[in-house]
Amino acid sequence: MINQRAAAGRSLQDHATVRPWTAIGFGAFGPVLVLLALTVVFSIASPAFHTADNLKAILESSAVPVVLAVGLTFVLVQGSIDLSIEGAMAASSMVVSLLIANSITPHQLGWIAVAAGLGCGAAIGLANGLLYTVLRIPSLIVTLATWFIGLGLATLLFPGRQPEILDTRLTMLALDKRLSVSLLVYIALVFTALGFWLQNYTQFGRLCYAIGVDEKTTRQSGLPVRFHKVLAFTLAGLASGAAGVMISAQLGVGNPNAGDGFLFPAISAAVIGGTLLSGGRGGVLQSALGVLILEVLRNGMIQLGVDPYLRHVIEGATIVGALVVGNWRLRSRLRVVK
Amino acid sequence: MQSDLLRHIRLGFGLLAALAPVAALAANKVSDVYTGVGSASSEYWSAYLEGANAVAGSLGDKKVHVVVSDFDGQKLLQQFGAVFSAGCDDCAVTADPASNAFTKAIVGRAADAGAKIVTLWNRPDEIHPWDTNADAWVAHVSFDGVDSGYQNGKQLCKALGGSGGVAVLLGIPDNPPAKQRLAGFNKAVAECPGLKVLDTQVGNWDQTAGQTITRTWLARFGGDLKGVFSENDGMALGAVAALREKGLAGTIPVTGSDGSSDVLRLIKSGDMLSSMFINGYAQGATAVALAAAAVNGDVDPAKLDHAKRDFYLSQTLVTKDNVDQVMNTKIDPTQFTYDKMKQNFWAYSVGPIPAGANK
Repeated sequence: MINQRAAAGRSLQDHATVRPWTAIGFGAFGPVLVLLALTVVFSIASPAFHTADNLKAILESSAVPVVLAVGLTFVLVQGSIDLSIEGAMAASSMVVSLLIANSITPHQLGWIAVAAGLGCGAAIGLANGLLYTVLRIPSLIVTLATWFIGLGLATLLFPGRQPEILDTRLTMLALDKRLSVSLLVYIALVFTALGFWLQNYTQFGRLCYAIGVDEKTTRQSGLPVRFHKVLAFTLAGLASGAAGVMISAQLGVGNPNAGDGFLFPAISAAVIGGTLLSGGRGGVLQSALGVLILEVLRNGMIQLGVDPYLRHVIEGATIVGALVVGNWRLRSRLRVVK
Repeated sequence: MQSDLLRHIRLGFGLLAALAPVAALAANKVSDVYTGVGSASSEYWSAYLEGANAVAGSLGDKKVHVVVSDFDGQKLLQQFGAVFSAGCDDCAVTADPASNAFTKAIVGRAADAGAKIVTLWNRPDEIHPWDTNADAWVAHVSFDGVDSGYQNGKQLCKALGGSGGVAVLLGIPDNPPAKQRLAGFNKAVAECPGLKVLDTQVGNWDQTAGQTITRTWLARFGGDLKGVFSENDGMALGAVAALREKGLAGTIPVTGSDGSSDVLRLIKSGDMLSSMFINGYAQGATAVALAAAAVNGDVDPAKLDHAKRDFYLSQTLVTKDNVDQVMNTKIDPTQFTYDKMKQNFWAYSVGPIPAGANK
């Protein structure tokens, strides 16, 4: 259902090896099945799992990774990759916390500081896109480099101790509850809705799929491929910037290590949701589902009291399992796996 | 032939004449100061570098060259490899090897390059400065993790009136401080039989992980969760952030370790119970001063007894009672020059590291 619209570049896809029509069924519902299965298993195994409190805990923990995964999806669908997430988050966290009312600097820029944090992420994304398209350096290398540039910027800005955020308008995003979940969860929802709209109702969204399936043909059709690539990277950067601001709101401090450990889950969430790293398949909602699968898994293992040393093993095994279920239909096709 | 030789001799005399007054003026022979730190963006390491720079600045206005390992021993070795490749005679080096596995390697390379080295935090139990590259490895300087875990555990026991369920946030499990602090905590629990450990989770020293895990605990244990023992301040801050979401900050006591400034503020406001303050500044100054002393010949490592080559530095348990005092302690850099440190390099030592502490 999502892919129907997604395949707006249908004429482009007719000759492609991936036939979206046959892949829809399992491709879209596989992740849902995995999520349901995990939920059922954990609910049976642990009485505390299916309580309202725990559901809220899962939603709160999912907010930041969902924003990241949604932003990343467009880049992945185009067949590129963005590794700079953690760097952009770190830089954004330091920028926002040092410009907003804080315990270190005298600045009190309020929402302008938040905008600066977002802008910082978007700027890194824009740089990614331009380096990749204009200088034609593979996105893997470009974003690996900007990852470290972002981390370096955050380290340079780090004033020796974590700046505490004193502006309650920002920290309230994490503390203020509406229907007993924080505003950050709603921000993640809005971001997902926005991503869904971009993906399905704009030329940008359709071209992302077209580029992912067959970039050459798309370019030869006279479509502005480069522009839309830069756009996708800027969007991913903006998402990382937003994630940096959100994590700062949650922690109440600026943290140069704010992005640590977010890259791998964001990419695996997108892949678990059915986004192919080779491009052309996947979508915003699937990626968000992938995040939920990972968060349910982590939460469930803590609920069950799984031995901490065993957790990573189970986490890895479940990712592989989810991929097998989600991509079962693709297995038989003569698809090149890289 | 003859004239060539003459020229060489003349040149030699010239050089000697030029160098002699310099050598006479400065007792300092340290050529360069290098420091391998775990992270460039943590409060503790920043304080460490300030202390290191205070001493280095008094050694002929040297500045510490910083090597950042990001807690990755391999990365540390690679970077020091580049520094050491051309030799590093009379260098004063201090380094955290990031994990026990790299201690021997980094010490060995420093020795080959002609440097004197003081190691921090990570030392395998079976090797010591006096039995491995004893000329180059001047000392190992650390803080007592067992004591930190024990004292914070005791505070938790006291705050809960001796009974209740607590949960434990672990650092990276194979780091000696993580093992030591847990051992100390377990010792405190053994003395406080009413304390029940509900769950133990690995938070990798990370703030966000501490928050996510605590959030899940709150959902899992509900009102049974009475306290949180965190192995460092970072995860403790995450735990407090999660408690704050539920309006429980200050109600459920949280302990940390490091004594970072945000945690001190939280202890003052009552949102956190206690933390162990480690003086990174004094550690940086002590470590660099000792390495420099070995270069300058002010200290002969071979003549030092073991307690002076492998020791813990003093640390302070911070609770609401003494938080103001700790917060208001200002460091005076003029007290941390090489000459001041030389009066007693071990002023901050609280004694030798017992055998078995680094297992």
